Amino acid sequence: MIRILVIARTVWIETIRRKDLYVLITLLLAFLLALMTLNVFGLRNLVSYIKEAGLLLAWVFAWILTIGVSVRQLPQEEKTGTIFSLLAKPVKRSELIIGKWLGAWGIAGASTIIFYILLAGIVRARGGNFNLALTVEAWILHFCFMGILSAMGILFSTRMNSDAAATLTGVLSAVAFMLLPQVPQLAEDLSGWRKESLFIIYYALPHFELFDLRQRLVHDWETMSWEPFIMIVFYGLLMSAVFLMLGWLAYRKKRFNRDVF
Amino acid sequence: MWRGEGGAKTLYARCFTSDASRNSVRRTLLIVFVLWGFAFALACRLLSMPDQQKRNDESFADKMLGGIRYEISGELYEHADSVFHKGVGHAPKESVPDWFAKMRRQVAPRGHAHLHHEGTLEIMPWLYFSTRADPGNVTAYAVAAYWLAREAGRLDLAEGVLNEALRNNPSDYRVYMEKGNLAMKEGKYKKAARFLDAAYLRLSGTNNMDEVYPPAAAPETTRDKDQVRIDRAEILVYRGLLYEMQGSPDNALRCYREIVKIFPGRVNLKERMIELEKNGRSPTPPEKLAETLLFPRRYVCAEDEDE
Repeated sequence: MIRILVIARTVWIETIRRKDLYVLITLLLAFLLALMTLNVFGLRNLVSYIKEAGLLLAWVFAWILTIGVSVRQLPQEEKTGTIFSLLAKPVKRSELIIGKWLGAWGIAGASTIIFYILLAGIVRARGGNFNLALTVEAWILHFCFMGILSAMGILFSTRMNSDAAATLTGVLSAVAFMLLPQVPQLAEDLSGWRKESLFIIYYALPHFELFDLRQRLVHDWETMSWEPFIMIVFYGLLMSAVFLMLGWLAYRKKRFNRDVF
Repeated sequence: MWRGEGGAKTLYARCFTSDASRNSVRRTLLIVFVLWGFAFALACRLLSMPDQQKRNDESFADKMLGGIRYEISGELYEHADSVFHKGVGHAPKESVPDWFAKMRRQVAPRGHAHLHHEGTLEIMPWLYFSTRADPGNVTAYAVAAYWLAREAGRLDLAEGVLNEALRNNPSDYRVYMEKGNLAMKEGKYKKAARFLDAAYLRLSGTNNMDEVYPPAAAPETTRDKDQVRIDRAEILVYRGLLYEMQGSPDNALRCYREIVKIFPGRVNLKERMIELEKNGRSPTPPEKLAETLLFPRRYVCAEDEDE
């Protein structure tokens, strides 16, 4: 367990040293400040569009950051050759994968807290409201979403370089988020093997839309009931575990070529 | 000259000691020069355009988005409707009642709810973006003006919105119709009459004025044709009321007869016509009826009507 936490800590330190996070925070601030200066038909002090745009940006930036951090961990270690000293420590490959995932997940989650705090501050300054309980609920589900996403990134990076892994993770996650909820309606007009294939994809890919509480947060609805909330969190952890397991299976027998370095 | 001492020598050693380094530096310099040239040409072009030419050019939305801006404008308008219903969209019925569908229902807000009073103004930014994406989206302008006048009580802002709609859509009857309605709300009856007359002239198939005032877009769909009939009736009923206020019952009757031709089932209107023909006026004063029509107590949503 200590080894896992140490690996996670190195991921944290490396990400904090890079500029990605600060660029995203600056971009978020710039977008929100630009939105605040809009003169909407002569009206001022409108807030919900800032909340909505801010939450969308927080999700997009968290998505970019999570994929960017997770997919480069293993390829970077292999490219620089530090994988050999790491595995000779000895660190098991499963510990390496879990440590890298925990680090990527943790830093993405912490960054999202910063995004949410910035947004809440701007909304409050504008006279708006952020329901604290609902915000915490929304962040927890968002955190679970990032867990699955970083596990996907780690899985693909076990056998691909970081660019290919990032592309595949990005495309799959975007497709899953946007199209999976429409699959039952799309499948109504199909039959036979096409319908079966569509439902295989529907049940195989993770359902990211379950982790999206933005509409509740923007329009100040009440919090979710705790039963479905717990079930969705459990589903998120389960999907993360599945992807990590697949990643370990893909990585445990992988041979590293010294001559490449 | 590069064979100097200290930093210059180091710079030379770093940059020019190999063919690969030299080529790389040359390539970088070439790219920078091309980019600079492009930026300079673009700056000259932008700064040298006279104001008149700039005004006649396509809008920014046209240049950046092309034809897709109409779709984007429509989506933004739909989103304003979703915001009005507190984030509850027109979600299709789940055809596969599995665990995921059940969880989706728990996650997404449900129920039929509206924003009220000043909260309604939260839809304005989306209507604003919709009009920026497509300045020809008169519906977005009209809805914005309606809610600004109704919930915010800002008739001045509503007028500003409609003035902008008029600048961008000078031949669309709907803008004149909304301006006429707004003027009636303000109590400016002469101004209202002028705008309602202008709206009526711009309706397609009216008084052979299509050549002088060509309709903004020929109604292609059944829904558009139905809406034009409803709008024609609305223009005529307000114009009829204005004629009554001016003491011209005959002109008012002319308007009402045309409405009855379009919608023969309007019983209340037929009763009013009978009173006007018999007594020259109706028991319900035209001002009171106009107020009832222009300021309904409750906003009726399409979903309310279905229920």
